[in-house]
Amino acid sequence: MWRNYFMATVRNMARNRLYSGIGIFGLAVGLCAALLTGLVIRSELTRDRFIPGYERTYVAAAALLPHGHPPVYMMESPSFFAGLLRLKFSDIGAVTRIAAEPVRLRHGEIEAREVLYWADPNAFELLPLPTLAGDLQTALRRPDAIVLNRSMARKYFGRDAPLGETLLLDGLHPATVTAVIEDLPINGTQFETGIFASGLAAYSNLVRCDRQVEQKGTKKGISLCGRTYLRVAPHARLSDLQRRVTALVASVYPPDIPGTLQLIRLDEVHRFAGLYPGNQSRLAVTGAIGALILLAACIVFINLSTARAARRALEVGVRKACGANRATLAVQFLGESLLYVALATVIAVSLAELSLPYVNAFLNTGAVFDYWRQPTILLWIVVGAVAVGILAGAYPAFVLSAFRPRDVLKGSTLRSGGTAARSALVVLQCSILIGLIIAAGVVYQQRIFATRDALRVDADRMLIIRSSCDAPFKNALRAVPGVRGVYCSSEAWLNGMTFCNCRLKDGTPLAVDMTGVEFGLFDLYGIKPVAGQIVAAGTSGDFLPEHRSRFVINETAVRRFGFASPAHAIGQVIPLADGPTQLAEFSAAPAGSTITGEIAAVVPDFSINAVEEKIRPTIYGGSSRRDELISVKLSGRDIPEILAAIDRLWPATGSKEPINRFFLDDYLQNLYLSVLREAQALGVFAVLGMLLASLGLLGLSAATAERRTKEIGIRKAMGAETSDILRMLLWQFTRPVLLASLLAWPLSGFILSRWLNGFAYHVTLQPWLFLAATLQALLITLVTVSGHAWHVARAKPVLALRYE
Amino acid sequence: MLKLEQISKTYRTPDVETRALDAVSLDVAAGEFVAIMGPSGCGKSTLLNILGLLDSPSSGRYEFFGEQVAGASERRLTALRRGAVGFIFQSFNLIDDLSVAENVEVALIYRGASSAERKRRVAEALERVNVAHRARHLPQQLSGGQQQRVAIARALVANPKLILADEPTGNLDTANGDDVMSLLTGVSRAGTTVIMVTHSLAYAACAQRTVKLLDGSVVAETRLAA
Ligand SMILES: Nc1ncnc2c1ncn2[C@@H]1O[C@H](COP(=O)(O)OP(=O)(O)OP(=O)(O)O)[C@@H](O)[C@H]1O
Ligand SMILES: [Mg+2]
Repeated sequence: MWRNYFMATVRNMARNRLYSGIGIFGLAVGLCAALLTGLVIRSELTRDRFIPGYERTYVAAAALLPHGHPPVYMMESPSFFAGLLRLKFSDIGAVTRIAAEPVRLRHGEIEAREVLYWADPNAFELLPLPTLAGDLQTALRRPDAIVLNRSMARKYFGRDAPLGETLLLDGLHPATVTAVIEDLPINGTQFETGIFASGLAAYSNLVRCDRQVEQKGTKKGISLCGRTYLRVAPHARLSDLQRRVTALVASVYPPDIPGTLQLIRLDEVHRFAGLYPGNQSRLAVTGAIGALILLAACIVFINLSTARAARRALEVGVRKACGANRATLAVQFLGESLLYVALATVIAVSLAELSLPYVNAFLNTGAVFDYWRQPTILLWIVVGAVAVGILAGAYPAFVLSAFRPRDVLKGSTLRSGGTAARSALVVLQCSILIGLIIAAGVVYQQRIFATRDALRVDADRMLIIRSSCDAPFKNALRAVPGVRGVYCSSEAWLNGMTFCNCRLKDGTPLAVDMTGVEFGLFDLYGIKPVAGQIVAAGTSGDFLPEHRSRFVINETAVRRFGFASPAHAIGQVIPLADGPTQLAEFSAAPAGSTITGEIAAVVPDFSINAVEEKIRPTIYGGSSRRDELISVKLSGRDIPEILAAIDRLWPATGSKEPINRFFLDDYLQNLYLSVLREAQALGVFAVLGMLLASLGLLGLSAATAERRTKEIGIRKAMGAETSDILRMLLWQFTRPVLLASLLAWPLSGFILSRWLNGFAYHVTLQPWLFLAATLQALLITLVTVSGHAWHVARAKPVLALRYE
Repeated sequence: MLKLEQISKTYRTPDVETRALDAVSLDVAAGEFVAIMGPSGCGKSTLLNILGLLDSPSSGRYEFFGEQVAGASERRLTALRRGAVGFIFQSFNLIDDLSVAENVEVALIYRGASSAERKRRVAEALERVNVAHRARHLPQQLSGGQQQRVAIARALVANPKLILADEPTGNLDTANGDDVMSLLTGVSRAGTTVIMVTHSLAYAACAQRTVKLLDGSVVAETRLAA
């Protein structure tokens, strides 16, 4: 008996090649997308979980709390806390520090710049990384020790275990290889480079930091150096420990530098919103879209299999008349559906394997499809596939098998519930499509906005050199033909990371950004004052106490300082409380400044930093001593020549480092990479959604046109023209798109406005985008179905009527 | 007004060639009631389809109300058919998704009648075939005889000059069949040309003229004396 059913299945599959092909292909695409997003999410959720004991290992990240602004987090922390934490808290078992620094490594002919981690000798006690050679526990005990990973060992020594060999560090310090570790997962760890050197070395970052702290004390500003990792005792209660750590930090710093150490579990670092804003929501969005695509694919599949099944009503009728019971028929249809799903799964798994490397490269992720090591993945795939199969087979299995043979054999066409359900599914699918198109559009707009409009500065052909503001070098740069202007600023010009927790005259606490600039910079960046005058060469203000002079502030500062308008602020004294104000910042720099000066000009709000953050009130003051960036505006032509000329000037500064320069445009591109990638990924998904939607519609139009063959024949016999029929068929597919819009508009509007609210500065949702998405969906629909509809509408009426 | 000359129709499938009609010549005058008879597969439906412009002959000439239509375009055939021909089928061929009234209305909507006009004529036609009380039902909710009467209403509603009926009583019992025949005879009396395929000698007797087909050819013709 089963052979008979199996033959029916196979013949049916062959007879309906179009439906079968579309259904299987669509489902394969959907399963593949779901599988890939699942793998990507898994890899993001399991970062650093390969390190044994990660559950009890935490990083102590610095958190600064500017008044009236969300906390600012940094992975690094003041270096002396490591000892303090170990000493004060018995439930912290071990503490270690790791400080990254770019160095030059050389062995024989091979020399390259690498980022190296200076690590306390006990680092590998907390982070027992997979070892290839040597003993990690003792590896960092000697001051000249270096630990490489496998590929670095191969790169410099051509073999896996060059124990006892020597590498030259920065051309000065010999380092001995004491151990080799396995390569760590790419994009799967916070110890990306895999090169560790002993922090005991006198020239190491850690020793330098310790010395700095000794010299400067800890009471003035926070200086960050290296990351602090700690392992808590098994019985430790984290919330309690966090509270005690906060209390400890508060006891170390004066109250005007409110801050704490945030304990973040090793595997959760990359998801911590304060450090990686948007990562968490990006994961959620990825998961949601993966699920949507899978849902769309399932809808296509379910629709096609029910449409196909309806045509087999006669088979059901005959089989029942011959005594088949409902159960066997249900099993037959479910079995068929599972067979299709199995085929699709095999295709999806192969597709996923093939495309995973590209997906990883694109999303900067380290997803692996290691089902041979993790058979649970296979289990999940099988469970998922069976679920989809049952879902898709359920309608035919339970509805078709319930047909009474009398009705079926009498030939009454099946206009039963199936059609309504199918229409509902099509509407759902169209709304997914429309939602995806809207989302892709909004994300794209926001991306353009973030990189261009929100910036509000002229970043075009702006070269930035990281260098102290050396007057001879500056003058030499100005003399290079093709250079339009050269001005200095502090690093804060780019990242806005220097601010004070000040107080207004009336005592209100207020965080104010302090950005050191030469006033000529404003003109260079095309920023015009809204009030007052900026005299580039004139007396510039200074954050240092010995000067009383002039500052530029932004419009937010005008408002927060309580001036009625920018014009009112001009000539006023900056209304911050008298007395020395602590300047809290992240870079090692003099701390403790008084701001006493008057306001020379007000500039519009602008930020070169990410749009995720609100622009803080900012005071721009000139300062020769704290300049860290040189902005060089180039004219349009001969850029390579100009760059070469600038590079030739560099050695004269006497710096041992090679020149570190970049174009602002590239920097911004990088800054907005995540938004860009998000936009592109959504674009890909929107195209996938379109593909699936058209597949579904194609199959459906074939199915309905077939179902309506008789009707078409009758109408033609009554004198309907081909165009009448065509219009009728196309309208049939226009309706679900319009209905879907009603569903998709409010839903996507709600979700996207929440997404946009994650940005301090964002575009507004525009109605035309919603209309355009509907139009596009309509276009896709009509293009997809019109071919088939045209074919059907043109057919001779006799052919249709003979069907009876 | 209908003039077939040497009409042939051949169906080609990859392996067989079926000659459904073989040099059929036939004249039908205005207002005539013609019955077509013959064994199954002899080409009756094919002939009717060609007469109703639903299909084109493979060869031969066909004059439809004075216009030569063999080889005319599909578009032209549609235009000629529209309003001029009403069809009645053995299996009713009602559209399942439309109500009785809507089914009847289909015969009018492609001819540009206004909505009010259509409503009026549909109501009239349903009244005429005695199913007005079922106007809002779906076809499945009617008996076979009622369905066929709806189909007749649909054929009549546009006041066509020609009505083609392919075994209109084939699926009906005697009582319902008689009803249908009396409707058709009435239509014929009113001056409409009716061509009907039937297997029943009794019903063929209602016609003024009977054409006998065998294997695609006309083998006999009988005329009832007027
Ligand atoms: N589309 C087609 N393709 C191939 N052969 C066809 C086609 N339509 C009809 N035929 C053949 O043409 C011949 C005449 O068919 P037709 O339907 O006209 O017969 P009929 O006289 O109406 O028979 P019945 O009384 O059973 O309805 C038959 O042999 C049939 O097999
Ligand atoms: Mg027939």
